[in-house]
Amino acid sequence: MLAGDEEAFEVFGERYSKALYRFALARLDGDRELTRDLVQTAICKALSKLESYRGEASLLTWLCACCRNEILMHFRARRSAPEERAFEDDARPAAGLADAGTVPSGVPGNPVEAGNPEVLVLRRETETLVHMALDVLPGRYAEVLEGKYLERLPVREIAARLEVGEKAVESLLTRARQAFKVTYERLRSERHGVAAEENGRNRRGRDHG
Amino acid sequence: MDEWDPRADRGPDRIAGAPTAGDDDHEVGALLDTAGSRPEIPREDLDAITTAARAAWRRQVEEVARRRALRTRTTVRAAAGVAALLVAALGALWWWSGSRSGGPGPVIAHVEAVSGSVRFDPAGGGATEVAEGLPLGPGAEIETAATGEAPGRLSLRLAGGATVRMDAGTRLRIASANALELRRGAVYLDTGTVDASSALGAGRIEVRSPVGTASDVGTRFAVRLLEPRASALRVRVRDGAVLVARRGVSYRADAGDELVLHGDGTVERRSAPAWGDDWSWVLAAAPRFDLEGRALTELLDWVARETGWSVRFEDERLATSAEEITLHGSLGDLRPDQAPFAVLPGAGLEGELDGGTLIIRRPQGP
Repeated sequence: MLAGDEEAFEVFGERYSKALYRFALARLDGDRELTRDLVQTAICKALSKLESYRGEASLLTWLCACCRNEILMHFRARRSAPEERAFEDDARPAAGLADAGTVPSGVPGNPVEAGNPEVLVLRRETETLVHMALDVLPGRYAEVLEGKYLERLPVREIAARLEVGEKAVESLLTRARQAFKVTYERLRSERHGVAAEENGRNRRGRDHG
Repeated sequence: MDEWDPRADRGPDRIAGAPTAGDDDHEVGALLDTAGSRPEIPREDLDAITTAARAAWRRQVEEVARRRALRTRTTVRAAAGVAALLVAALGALWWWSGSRSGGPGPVIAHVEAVSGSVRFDPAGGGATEVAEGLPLGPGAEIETAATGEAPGRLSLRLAGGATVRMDAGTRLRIASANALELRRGAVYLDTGTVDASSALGAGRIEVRSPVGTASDVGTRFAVRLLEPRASALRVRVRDGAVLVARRGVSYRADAGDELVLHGDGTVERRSAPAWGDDWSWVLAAAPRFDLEGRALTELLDWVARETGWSVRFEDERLATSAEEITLHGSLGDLRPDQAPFAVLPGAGLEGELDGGTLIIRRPQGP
């Protein structure tokens, strides 16, 4: 991309700006204007440092770290409390693939969910991660997964929509599921690693203070 | 660029505990079901982000190209017998830089680092935002936003090699490669790296102001116009010496000196430490240090130069072994006064600041 490849930038812009927007919006109480400003700043700064990205973390994780930093700096500049909340939110585990079947499914009126703010936070966290993972999937993977699992379309209809054969859809679905799982798990584990580290640092800071 | 690993396509056995397609189907379905449809992101928000990102990306692409061009130039210079090629490359660079600086004439400075809001007026051509890598011609006027939400700070390198930092709320005109006109605020100069053989860098660098003119004698120093109404000029010298002239009278300030020239003609002299809070804005405006592949001693030299600290190793053996340590990674946004404390533990060392001295030692046992 740093060689000036316009197409690479388009892919970057389309996939990652959406995912980062969701990441920031979830931490800024849905404040659109602030989200837009901070994501803009984070992406611009990240691009100016793109040469230093070494691939130790996934690109999205690296961008999220830039964005998280921008959010913290914003709240520190204003010396307001949401900084603490952001850390706490990050520290809660999202649902893993193995837990997916037991996570409250968001059925309206679910008493466990209705009375338990932690479950609500957990579910919000899972939602954001799932949506971010879908945002960064390449090609038609997100489209085919959403068609199958959200719209509950039969393979025949997905094939017609994508203008490919049913066999191709089956194959696409297999690859899409794999790609989604890898992306989601990586996002989840990397974010919790960062969150735990931040939380520990935060706690140590409070203890010393 | 892709977030997912294409090797995962080889089969589900890459995912521990998810060996069958049926499991995949169930798990992925449950997660998507839990999350529901992706909420639509407002198009105008995405457009605003993409537009800003595109501008930043283009600047970065230009900067990478410029650095590659400079590296090419260095290589060419080193190869004896290809002088003609060097002339052509320099000519091309000259033309390219001149066309970007918004006017004819030589490029006499480049912007190295920017934070917050900084605007410049290329010799009366209308103000515009400053970006890293921007070449500047004679007469360029730069203004950094005052302290507030996003205080502007800037670091630029003059053609001769000297670096200039501007604090927030500063207005500066670059009259030539050797003359800066301070209209408001404060600048910091480091002329220790001036290339004496450069035609543009030859001679002392002057900071002119309505109150007096400070010129360097190979040094690092800060010049600030004091409020109200820029009625006094304060010069603090970290290293080397500075001559401050007013109405035909010169005053010399050496390392550790602070001179204040008041509008009523009086001059105050006192001592000023080379480190501490008074210099923190200089650190905030410092260009980034590229850590990857550099020796620990190089990092410490940079830290000492930027902070004014002296660096001392616990013992001679440690100092020798430090020369062998090569660093990897990136400092990110860490400032020079933060960097050693982040980097040293990774090298199996620790640092302690004692007054203005950074002491490097091996970690002590429990």
